[in-house]
Amino acid sequence: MKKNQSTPIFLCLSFVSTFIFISACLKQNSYSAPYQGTTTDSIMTIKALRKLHVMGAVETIKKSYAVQGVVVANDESDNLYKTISIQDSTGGIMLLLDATNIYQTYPIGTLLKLRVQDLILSDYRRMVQLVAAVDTSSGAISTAGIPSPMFSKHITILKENVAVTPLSVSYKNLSDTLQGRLVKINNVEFASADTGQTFSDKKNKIGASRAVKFCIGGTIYLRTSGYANFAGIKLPSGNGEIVGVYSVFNTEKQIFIRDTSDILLKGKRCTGAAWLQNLPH
Amino acid sequence: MKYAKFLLLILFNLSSVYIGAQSETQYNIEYHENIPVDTGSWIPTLLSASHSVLYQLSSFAGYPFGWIPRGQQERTVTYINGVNWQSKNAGWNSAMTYAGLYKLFRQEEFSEQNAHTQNGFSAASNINYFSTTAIPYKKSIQFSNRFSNNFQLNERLINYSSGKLKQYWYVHSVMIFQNSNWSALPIGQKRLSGLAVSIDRVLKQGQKIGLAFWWDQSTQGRQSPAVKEAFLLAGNNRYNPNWGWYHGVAIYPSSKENNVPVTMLHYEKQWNDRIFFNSSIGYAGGLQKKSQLDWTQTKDPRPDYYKYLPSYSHDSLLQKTWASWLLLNPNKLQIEFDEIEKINKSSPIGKASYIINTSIMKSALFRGAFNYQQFYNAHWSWNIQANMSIDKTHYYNQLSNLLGGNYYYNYNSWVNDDGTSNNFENNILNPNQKVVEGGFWGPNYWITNWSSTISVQLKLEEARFESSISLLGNNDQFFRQGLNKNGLFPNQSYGQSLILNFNSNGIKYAYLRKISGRFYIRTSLFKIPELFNTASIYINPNIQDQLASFIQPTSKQGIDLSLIYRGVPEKFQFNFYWQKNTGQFGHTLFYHDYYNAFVYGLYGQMESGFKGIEFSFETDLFSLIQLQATSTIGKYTVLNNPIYEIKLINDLYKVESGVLQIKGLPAATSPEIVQAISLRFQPSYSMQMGITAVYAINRFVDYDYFRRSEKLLSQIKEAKNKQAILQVTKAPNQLVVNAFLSKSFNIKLQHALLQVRFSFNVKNCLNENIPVLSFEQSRFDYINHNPNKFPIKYLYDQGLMCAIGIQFQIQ
Repeated sequence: MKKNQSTPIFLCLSFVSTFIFISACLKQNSYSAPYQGTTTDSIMTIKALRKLHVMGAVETIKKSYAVQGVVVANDESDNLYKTISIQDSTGGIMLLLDATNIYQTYPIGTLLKLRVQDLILSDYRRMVQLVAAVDTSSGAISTAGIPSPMFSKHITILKENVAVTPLSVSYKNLSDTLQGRLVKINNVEFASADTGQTFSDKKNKIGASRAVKFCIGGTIYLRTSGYANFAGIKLPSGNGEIVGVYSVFNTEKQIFIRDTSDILLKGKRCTGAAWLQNLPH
Repeated sequence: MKYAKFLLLILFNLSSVYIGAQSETQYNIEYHENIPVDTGSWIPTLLSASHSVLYQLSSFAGYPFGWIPRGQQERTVTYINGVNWQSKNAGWNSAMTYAGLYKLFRQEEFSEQNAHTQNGFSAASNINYFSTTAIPYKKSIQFSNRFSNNFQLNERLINYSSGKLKQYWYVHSVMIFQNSNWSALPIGQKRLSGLAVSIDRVLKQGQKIGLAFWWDQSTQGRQSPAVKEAFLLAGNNRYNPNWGWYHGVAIYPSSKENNVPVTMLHYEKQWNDRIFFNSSIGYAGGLQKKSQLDWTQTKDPRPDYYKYLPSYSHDSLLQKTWASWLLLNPNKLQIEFDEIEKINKSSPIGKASYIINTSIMKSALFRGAFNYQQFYNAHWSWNIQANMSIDKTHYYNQLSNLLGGNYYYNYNSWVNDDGTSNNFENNILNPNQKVVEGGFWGPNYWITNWSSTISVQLKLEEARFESSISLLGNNDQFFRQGLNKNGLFPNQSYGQSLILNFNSNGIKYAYLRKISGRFYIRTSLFKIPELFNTASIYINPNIQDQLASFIQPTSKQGIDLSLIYRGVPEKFQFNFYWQKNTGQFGHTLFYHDYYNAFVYGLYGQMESGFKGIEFSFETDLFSLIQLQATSTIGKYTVLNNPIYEIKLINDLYKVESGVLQIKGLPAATSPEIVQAISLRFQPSYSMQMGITAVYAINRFVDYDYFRRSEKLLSQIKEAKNKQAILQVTKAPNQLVVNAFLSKSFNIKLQHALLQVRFSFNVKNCLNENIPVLSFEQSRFDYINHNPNKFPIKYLYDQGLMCAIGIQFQIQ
């Protein structure tokens, strides 16, 4: 009889101890909520950032600087690869991002805050760019963009659909300070030898530079990747304006477009003295 | 009354606590406690009552090592009332139809001496024979619950047995409910509700008839293997890249579901002591689903994609910064659904780049089995068994979640490494179809399999020996019925394909010699077929009906020799086995970096060999402790250099063929050397405790054959680089220790007996880091031949796991 009375007490104690055991034994949820970092970076202009670079050298940015800029070109048409171009009112710069389909994350018109600490300033054929890694083991400099998982470490989207008006520039004003900026060149047309050509060699995926002549004299080259989705389209033969991002390839002045809507060459081609000035000497 | 109130109070409390279910352990207990009383009629032999120590230890304690005796690939085959519910139609998982309902089934022991098993051997095959009979159970009702630190499941199980009712009716039933919170488990979630009922009646003239019905509705997440680097960054072995954050909530896009009721009718008749007959018919019909994240023309969303891990960078400085960033931001090692939604919403035309897709298998499976056995006289007996099945499975996709997008195109896209893709229409009869949430898209086809197997056995039993011969014949027919005409294979994707007809046969001979009352020698010789299935014969039934290359009958032939001592209490068994598999073939789909495209890799005419020795021993120490031990040494290798070819996925154009240099490569992932010991102490009838230790040596990963092609190896000049590809990777030698304790109390109620039983299980007591799955990725750096670019992937055991169970049974 005594045994029967003690059994429920034993059961109760066992049950309570079971609960204690379980509460001690259960693991805490090991998954934490997404990390939201805060930063106190000093904002600098893109012009000031570019000044930190010496052509041909690489500079790792150690200080906690940040720049703000609007995306003016990306890889939406595949004319750029793993690269976007951002600009503020003082200048522009190419930013290498190690991912594809970047345009889905950073469409044109996105205002960014870019934390540049630990990024590296370098140049490719004198075109200044921001990269995340530099490898010189092969003897030549090869660069890599910011890895996709680290985008949020360096980039914060501040605003979307910011309108950017391209800066109208004449041939004589084209200089390195315009690198990476959205510019508009007026009274231009493709060299007559190129007018029957396509933007680049789509079939063989080979990029091409097509001469764009200023009516008042001077040549800039429209650079198009062989992977661009408009690579196989024929060049327009008229005269007018082209909007694009200014770039350089060594001493050659270049411009690249985002898509074919950046080209408005519907006017009559240049004639007379202006054209003659464009002839090679 | 006092006890009844107390019981109700406890049951009420139990309904709100988290518990864990360890069905393997339960099987173990059942195996010991339930002595089959109803099974002798099938295939009696001199050793029919024996159980295999090796089998028990490998099944329940060897799981973390993937220990499958003799390196056999078929892990477990389960027969329920003589019917195997596994289908030859790819993707079907019969175990999901009865998960958690193990209390319905009684494990039966059969001698496999004569039976044709998947593995051919007469012993140590991982084959479960279950019966649904309700007849042996006494009247009782049972409530049970279990708690665990890793399996945070809330499980309630009710098990009712009627005992003998009027007119010899018997009812046995099980109800189970399992639930876990999202993210409590590495797999994300588990929800299960199941019901199983078995009704039997004993009729006159030695007849029994029964109906069994079980129905599980379950949903559970899926875990994905990852590279070691990801586990190190995540800081734990529970890392699962298959989930992510969405609006601050963790969601698991990868899951599997089951909703398949199964019904079986069985009938037994015993004319006299010499003639037995039993048969079963059954039908299973319902849905099994698998969901996962799908994407096209956008960046890869998998957080452990090789380009998203620090090792991808060649810059050591960036590697460090990258690793630090991921350590600080563990959410970056999970899928970023907010980013995905943003991308989907940013499309100017509303087209979703990412979706959660559900692949659905709607199946109707019919099964029939019968067994007739006759003892001609005291020495000669024969029996005939037949199994028939008709499996019809409808495969299609449903778009479950647009993740912020408006629609998805009904295109098939093979996304390349750079995010570009080749699109083709899934249904050119309905071009440019925009699929909305809940809509159907993608592959749409039926696969039908007709299968029939018959085996005949003849047996001679004498006082000093048993001898038997068994013949098996099998016929399988398959065809595909395409309901979509896709843009890539318009002629091979639509309409009914040719009916494929495969015939196989096998033979087995067994001999058992009784040397004395305790010593036996047993041997079996066998040549059995490996049966065909849709996963191996069709190259990719999702898009066309084309067959894989190198299809030929695969056979397993070998010998099994045993020396058995059965004393009291000492028993031991020594086995030698040898097996050769010929005509093996297979294929896999992977991204080939050299061809910059998805390809099929196909191989055939492969031979593999399995040989080894085993020793098992059991005894009682001081009449209190039961000791079981086993020691196995085996060698499982590929015996030749098979042929192969590589075909482009888009047009099946053969871009490469030749010979694979894999002779001598391990042919199985099961450890080659295993030592195991189990001690079970029973100080009283109501209490027992035990400890099991398994030490595994020579555990190999699952190898990718195609990187070992003669062509590729000939391109590598440096011996060091060639060796890096050819080398075999082994997991470290490891020890797993499991322990259990159980105690029961009997309380006499006014008209019944209440039994309360506590159990405490600890798995992997030493908290060893044990990879349960490891394999070389099929993707390989075919350009620079760097074996570390796509390293081995792992899935780890959960480590130390404690579980407490409580069970109430009123008899």
